[in-house]
Amino acid sequence: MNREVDLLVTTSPQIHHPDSTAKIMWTVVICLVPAGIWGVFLFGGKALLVIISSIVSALVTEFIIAKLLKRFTVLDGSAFLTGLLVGYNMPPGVPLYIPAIASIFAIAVVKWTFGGLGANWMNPALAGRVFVFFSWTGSMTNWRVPRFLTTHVDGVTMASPLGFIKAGLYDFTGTSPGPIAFLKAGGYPLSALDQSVTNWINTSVLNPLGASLKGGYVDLFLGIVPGCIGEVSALLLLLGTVYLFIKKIITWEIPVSYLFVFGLLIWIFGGLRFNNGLFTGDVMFNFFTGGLILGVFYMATDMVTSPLTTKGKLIFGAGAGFMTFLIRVYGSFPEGVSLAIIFMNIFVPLINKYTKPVRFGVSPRGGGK
Amino acid sequence: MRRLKTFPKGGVHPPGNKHLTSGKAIINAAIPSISRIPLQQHIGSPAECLINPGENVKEGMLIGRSTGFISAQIHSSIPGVVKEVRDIYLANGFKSKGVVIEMEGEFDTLGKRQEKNNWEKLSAEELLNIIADRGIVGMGGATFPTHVKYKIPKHAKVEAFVVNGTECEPYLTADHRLMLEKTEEIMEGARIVDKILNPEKIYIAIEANKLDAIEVMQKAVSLLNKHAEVVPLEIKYPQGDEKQLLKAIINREVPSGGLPIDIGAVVSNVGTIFAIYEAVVMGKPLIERIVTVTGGAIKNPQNLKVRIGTPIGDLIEECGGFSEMPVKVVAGGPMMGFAIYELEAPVTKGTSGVIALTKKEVKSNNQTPCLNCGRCITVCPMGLNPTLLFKEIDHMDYDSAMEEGLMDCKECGCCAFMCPAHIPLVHGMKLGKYMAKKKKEKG
Amino acid sequence: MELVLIFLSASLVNNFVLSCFLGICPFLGVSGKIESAVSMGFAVTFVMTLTAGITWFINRYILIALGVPFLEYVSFIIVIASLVQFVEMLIRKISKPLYDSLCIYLPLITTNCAILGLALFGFLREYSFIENMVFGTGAGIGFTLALVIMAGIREELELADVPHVLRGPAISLIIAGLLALAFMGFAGLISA
Repeated sequence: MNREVDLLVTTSPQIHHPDSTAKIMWTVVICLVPAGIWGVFLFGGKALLVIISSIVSALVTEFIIAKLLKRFTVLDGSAFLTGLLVGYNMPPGVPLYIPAIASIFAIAVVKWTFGGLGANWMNPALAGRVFVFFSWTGSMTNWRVPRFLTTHVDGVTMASPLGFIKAGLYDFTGTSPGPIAFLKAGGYPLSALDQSVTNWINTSVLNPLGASLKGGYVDLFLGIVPGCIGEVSALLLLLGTVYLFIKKIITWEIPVSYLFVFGLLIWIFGGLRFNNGLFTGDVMFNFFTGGLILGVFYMATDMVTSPLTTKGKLIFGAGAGFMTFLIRVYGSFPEGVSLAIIFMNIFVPLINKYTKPVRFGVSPRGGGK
Repeated sequence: MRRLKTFPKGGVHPPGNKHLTSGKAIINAAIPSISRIPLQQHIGSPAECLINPGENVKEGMLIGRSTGFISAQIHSSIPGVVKEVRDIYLANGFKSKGVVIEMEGEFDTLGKRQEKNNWEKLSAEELLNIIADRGIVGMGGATFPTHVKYKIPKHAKVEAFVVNGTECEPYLTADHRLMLEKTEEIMEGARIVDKILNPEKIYIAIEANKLDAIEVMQKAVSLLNKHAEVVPLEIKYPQGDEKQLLKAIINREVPSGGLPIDIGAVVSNVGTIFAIYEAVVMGKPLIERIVTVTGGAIKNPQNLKVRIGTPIGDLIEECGGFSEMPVKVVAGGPMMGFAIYELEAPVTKGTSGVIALTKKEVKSNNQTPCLNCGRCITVCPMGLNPTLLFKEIDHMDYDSAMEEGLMDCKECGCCAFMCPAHIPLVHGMKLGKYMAKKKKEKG
Repeated sequence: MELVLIFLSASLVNNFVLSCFLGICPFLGVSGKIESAVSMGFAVTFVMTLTAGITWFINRYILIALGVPFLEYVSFIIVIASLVQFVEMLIRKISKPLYDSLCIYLPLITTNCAILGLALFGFLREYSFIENMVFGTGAGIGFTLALVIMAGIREELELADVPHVLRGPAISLIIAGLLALAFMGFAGLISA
């Protein structure tokens, strides 16, 4: 046997788990694709151009800056993911320079000024979105009518559900059973698909149990509402989330704490705006609107900008849930998810510093006799 | 089925791959023609060389005397003539002065019938001296001199003595086969240790991937006339590490910077117990051990009984050589073992396995920046923050790293195993410990 | 309820550092470590609360009563300067290491536009005494919050590889800008 072999010498451990950064990033991308396809299907080819514009600018910016710092990182999937998420957070009719600028801001300023992947402490996609939102608020709230809602008479533009409610509630003095009823009373249309599916659910599942589902929720769940390209379809996003949980790319702490705190507060205080009293808030409506599902499962759980320990993650999720509630119900913006998550991002370094894991053999109850 | 005991925090599940050799009985490896025996195969100060080139040695003869409080004796593993006394490169990359012996002459013990000694009338002190004299060290891989470990401080009482048959590292099956094939000898060894330590309880810890060994040991436990029980444990790495083991079995944590005796416990590997039996009952010094030669790149994986000092290349040849070119050859287990750079590295008292790994088994990837995913924190059994420690060490802030518990790191490899960015975390820890120690010595 | 709104408005919605862009000098200078940030924040809060109270009296019983509102700048600065001297002496007595770590920034509180701004806002909005005190404390707490957040981020960034050209004040200003972006989420929460 030839004893002169070329052996690799490395420090232990000598074997490794199959995961890698690129695998994680691209898996998240794949989980997001169905929601994007649906968005393009609903809103037309313009939406596809928006997504392409944001992805391409993200990749080009990443390539150029990495080159300046003598690195090559385009293939690790993180810039592509950022670009994709920026695109998903855009309204479908937005002029193409806006997603491009959002992507450039996200990659260059929010990510690379701090040293690149892993060094940023604020979610780049959300920061990019917020940046262009405050700079071009008009274009960023210019919604399109989705396919299937042809009953709407006005033409090309229409308010998003939350925007409609926010504007309507400004001087509201009457009472209303809740947001769905408010929308209906204001002439907001429902699709025929929603009516037939709601009827089917009621007759075959819920009525025998003594419950019933009001119209309008199915539209929200499937995403047949005006909104940002990637955030409307709760169904497809949740399917992607299931795969992410299976692959252990996201864990339960942030989604559970976020949704629990947010849902609880909405349930208790959400009805106050409609002059309904406490404990009448419409939790399901608020879950499926305003990009909450996209935010909770894909943005808040972003590994780089969320805390390291379980305790930290629970604090982060709870804080974000609280802030989202605050902005949605009392703030001047219709949806609060992006701002809430960014706001909690700035606390993550402090959270990390003060929630350290319990060390083995150090606490009095564990070590010693 | 009852829930198996385990340690609560951290741990990983690397693919076991023990099926390659767990069913294969131990075979005697061929006696090497050249044996390179390092004088430092243990923790502590190296042994003092007693032999010169040109002299003849017998099998089992003392060639290195222990020096200092923590040290061990070294014996020749083959009869022959001393070719040279020079520096030998070990599997872990360090070098030690050692004796190179060329085989020649007759064997005293090989193939001849041995007489058993009656040890029952010996005192604990005398037994401990025999263990010291025969060069017994921890065979689980740590190689701490056993007679030093068994010298219990006056104020301490041993409540639990654990025979560690866990063998949590993937691929390794040496301890498994030892428990199946030498059950009574191990039990007698345990009785010897029982006389020395006088513990209240004896535990035999075995992971649940060795059900036949659990059964065999459970039947034999009656040979120990004392409160003894076999404890089957959940399959999780690093279940066999003594701190995690004690947490799982007696639910106490060894204090940071302390030893198991601080919580009244002593842990010894099953191979060490067998070596104690051979030393006391058969009068044999530590000159051979069981090595699992395995891995995807080995044609014919086996469990071999190997003489100390045998070149690793000899063992691989004996197992049919390489079926394909390996990426690495590891001495020890894959999680904490050393990748060797030449096949001439010798088998020492702590070499529990030789694993030739293929690219598919290694699953390495390019290093990317840290993602702050927190997986390293989730899996660290010692409750440390590996990513923070690595960043502090990278920025040469050793004081902060020490404060964060750097010295508690067992270098088990769980963090680096899981890291998606493939950051060499354990490498950073080793470097940090070395630099922190150097800084302390300087200032 | 009105007081709670004033407090929240001063500390969060119209945060002095991140929304009004006052007090940037100590914000960038003392936010390297969390401990010094907390100490500085409390010193400023203390000075702000006392300033709010004392300037209210000066407003009511000197400036307005005697009909000399144009003396507001002079009188406010005198008050602030003396208060800062007092705090400086206090801190030097209590904890010398703390005094050393804050070094030049402690006397610089005198020129901190946030405190003068606080006094002037109170003057403009015609708050009552209690309202002014709450306003002062709220502003101080908000300042401390911004400082601590900044310190947390900067401490973590010490372990990252910020590009060479951006190290130092440059990256601090970028962080401040992003923090201001995040705080814009509070807009409209309370119509101030």
